[in-house]
Amino acid sequence: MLLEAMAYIAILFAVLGAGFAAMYRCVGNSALLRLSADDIAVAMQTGERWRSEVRSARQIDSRDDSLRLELPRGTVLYAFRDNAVFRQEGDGPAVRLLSNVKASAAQLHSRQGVRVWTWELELNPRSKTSRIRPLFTFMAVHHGEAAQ
Amino acid sequence: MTELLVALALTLAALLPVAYSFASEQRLARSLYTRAIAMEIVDGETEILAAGAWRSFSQGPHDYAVKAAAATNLPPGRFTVTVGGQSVRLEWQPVLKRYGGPVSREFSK
Repeated sequence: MLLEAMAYIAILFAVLGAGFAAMYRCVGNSALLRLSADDIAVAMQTGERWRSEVRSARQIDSRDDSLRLELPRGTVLYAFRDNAVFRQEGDGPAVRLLSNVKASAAQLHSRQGVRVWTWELELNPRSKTSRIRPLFTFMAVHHGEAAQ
Repeated sequence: MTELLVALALTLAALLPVAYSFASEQRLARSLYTRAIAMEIVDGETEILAAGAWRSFSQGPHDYAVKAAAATNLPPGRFTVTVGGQSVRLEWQPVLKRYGGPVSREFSK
């Protein structure tokens, strides 16, 4: 009887240990999944806003890690620094739009006579074991002046 | 011992659906990410085509080459541009199911 009880206790501890380990792993993965989903949603919203502003820009000037857009209502600067993308309107404060950014580059291409700005954005994966590089590509046609 | 085995079986029966639901959520998140980047690429390329690039294609369906870096995360599939009499259509069609599904955009010439 005593042996049986001790065996039960040992098995109970083993099952509880495995259960807690699994639960903590699930909680951690769930939090990472939520962070990744938030990153994707914010990146898509930022990209759509960037596309809209590139479309309406009269002139676009690209320097190092920044892109200056001359919009009808004023100047907007998109800048990549300190693993983040900032947006600044005129002399106003620079607002952090995206954090956890690994790489960001905007380039002008010509496609069959159409001037296209392409923004390649890469975020840092939230999970260290992730096999996917979170890449985003945004494209917008520029109808304004050709200066770069 | 029988009680122990029954208890373990009950615990496993309760935990397995939970574990499956986490795996299913991960698959769903990946599928939504794939769909998001496919939509973004198709939207951008459609804008380029609508700006006049469609004129380099003759009437009918053609494979459409995409150079976007994000396209490397797409599952196997193909982009197709179809020039019709009145409209132009760009479509992304993945080969595999459960990878975000097809995305298409159409505009008038």
